[in-house]
Amino acid sequence: MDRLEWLIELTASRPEDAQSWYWLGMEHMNQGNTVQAISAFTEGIKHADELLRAQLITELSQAAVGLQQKSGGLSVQVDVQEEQEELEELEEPEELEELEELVEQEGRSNGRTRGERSERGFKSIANPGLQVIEGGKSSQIPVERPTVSFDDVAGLKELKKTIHMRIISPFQNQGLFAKFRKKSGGGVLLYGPPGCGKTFIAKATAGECRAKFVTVHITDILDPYIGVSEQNLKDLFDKARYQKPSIMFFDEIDAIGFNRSKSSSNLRALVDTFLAEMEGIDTSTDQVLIIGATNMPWDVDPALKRPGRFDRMIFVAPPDEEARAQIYELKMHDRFAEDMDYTRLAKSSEFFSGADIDSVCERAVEIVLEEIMNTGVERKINMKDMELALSKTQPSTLEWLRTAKNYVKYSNQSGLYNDIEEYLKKYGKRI
Amino acid sequence: MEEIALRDQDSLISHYMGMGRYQQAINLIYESLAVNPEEGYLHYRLGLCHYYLDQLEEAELQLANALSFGFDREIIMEVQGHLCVEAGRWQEAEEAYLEVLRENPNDASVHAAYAYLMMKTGHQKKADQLLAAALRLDPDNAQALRYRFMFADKTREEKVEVLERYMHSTDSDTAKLIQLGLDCLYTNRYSRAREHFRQAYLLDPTNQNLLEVMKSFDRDFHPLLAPLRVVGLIGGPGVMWVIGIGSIMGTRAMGWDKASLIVGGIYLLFVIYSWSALGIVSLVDKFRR
Repeated sequence: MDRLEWLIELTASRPEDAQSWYWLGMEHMNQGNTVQAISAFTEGIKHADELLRAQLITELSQAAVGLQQKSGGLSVQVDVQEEQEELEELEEPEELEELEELVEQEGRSNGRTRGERSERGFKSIANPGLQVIEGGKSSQIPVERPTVSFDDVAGLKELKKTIHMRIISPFQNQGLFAKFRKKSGGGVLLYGPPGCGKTFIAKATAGECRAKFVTVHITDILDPYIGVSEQNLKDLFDKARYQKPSIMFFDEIDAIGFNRSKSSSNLRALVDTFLAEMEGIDTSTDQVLIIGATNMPWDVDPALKRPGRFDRMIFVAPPDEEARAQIYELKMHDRFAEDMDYTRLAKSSEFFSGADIDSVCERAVEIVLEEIMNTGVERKINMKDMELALSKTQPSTLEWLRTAKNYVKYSNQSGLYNDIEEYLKKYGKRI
Repeated sequence: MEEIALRDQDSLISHYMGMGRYQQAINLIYESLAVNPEEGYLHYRLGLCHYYLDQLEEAELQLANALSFGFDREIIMEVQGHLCVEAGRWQEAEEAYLEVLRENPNDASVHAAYAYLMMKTGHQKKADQLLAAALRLDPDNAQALRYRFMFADKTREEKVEVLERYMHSTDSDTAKLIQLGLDCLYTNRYSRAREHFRQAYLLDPTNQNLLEVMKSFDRDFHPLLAPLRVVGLIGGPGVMWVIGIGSIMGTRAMGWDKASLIVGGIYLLFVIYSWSALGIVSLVDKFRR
């Protein structure tokens, strides 16, 4: 009888002995039977004490990584350390059963239908290496845990307050909201001129909520083959549901949820799927927040703006004076520059977006560099350079604000764009 | 760029073009052209995007490139025809359309486009025949129905019938709302016309032409301009002048000097108001904003 057979018999006679499972797993590993090793380690985890459990998890992770490397091809990118932590958190018997099932699944033949992918996509996150065959675009979308918070967003006090009230509080006080039968999931639509930080604010919101953050762009969904785009979108929603609490961020949402009355029939199917998935989030799954960002809220299908979908619309206006001063400071920080009056610069750059301010700073640097190249005399960037760069830059938000102004004039009967109206009341005369 | 990446890029280009985001599509086409500079189909699409953005010279250049790289001549000539119509080069437009029709005599859209060219150049009879041919080939052709509604000389009942058929066509909602607005405008139902144009504008707020239409509606139907509309209803400034001068002369002839002075004063005030009314309206609007 060889060692392996002896260990198999041992585990059969003493299935509660975690140490036996550990040795069996190690033997399988030595002989290159990775799948059987994973199975043995998983069985061992069920019965192990804290110390052995940690050891088993380490071995399991290594086995899984080995399996993933062997399989090659498209594989899900998983941070082993992170997953190890997740596995350590697994205490519920159901989760262990899930893990077992996963190992069994992997041992079976791999002939599967496309519809099964989404579920498997999730499971691969819970157990690295056990799920490696994913062809859909959605599987390639990384899930982040944003480290940015509202402290990193310059100014915009009012906006932060609104987001706190409408998004973060429900997410963080779920007990209270559940008592009032108020759901913490759903959809929020951030809209405003380009370059004003909608994406950054969405990331900061995810950071504040301590939720996973899945960024989705039209390129992650769109596929030339009929029905595949819809499947990709569905897979992404499934992924977010399995990883709650999570925030799905749809950048340029008008490209995905384009107004059906203006679009072709194949795009309509995508919007229909989007609507169906949003409904699913609203009715069955809390703790999944969908944030959409768009420069063209009027191009988003009206059905997506109805209650239950993106029912909260938040206007991300160009940065206010305080925010602009902070952005200038941030952009010029650590540069070879003299002390500057950022408040004065902020005052002269009304309606400038964050991206415009960045452009001003870059232009000022270019001016100085050009001068240094010509004269050979090195000097710091000063206020004059900034003012010169500022005079050469036009705010890119003006065109958007003018369109919005006209749009609101003819369309705001429903009060959907009250935020813009408020903003225009304050600044509209100068647009 | 790999084949799959190019395929995905192509799909994205189609997506943006389908949405009418031609500038975004152009950026993507240039990316693809960097990999495949001799791909006629990409040059054709680039030309099409520039044409939709009214950049006619660039569009023509790209269509010529597409042709030199072997892309389908018939497809290019159709766009070339539209482009020449836009540029006012009627003869070239006709040549282009005729070339397409020689290759494909059953193309309803080209018949409709050719009919439009004939209407523009005053050949109403030929235009009617071409429109009839277009509708015989494809009874639901949106373009043909639109032109038939707009230009063909018909009774009200026939116009309504064409409009109903057009509403069932595959044209965009914006185009349909514009046609409804025009129909109301033709029948002097101004407030309904304004509402249709407003709805069309809401679907496409970046459309400057629609914005101008809305502004002109607001200007023409402003409450402060009501007296001028009354003048229009009674026959225009000429009639008003006759009424004003006639009243002054009449009261004077009857020896009612005081009444004549009052009528003269009112008339003078009205004349000054009619000259400055538009300016006053603009000022009031500016103040309200």
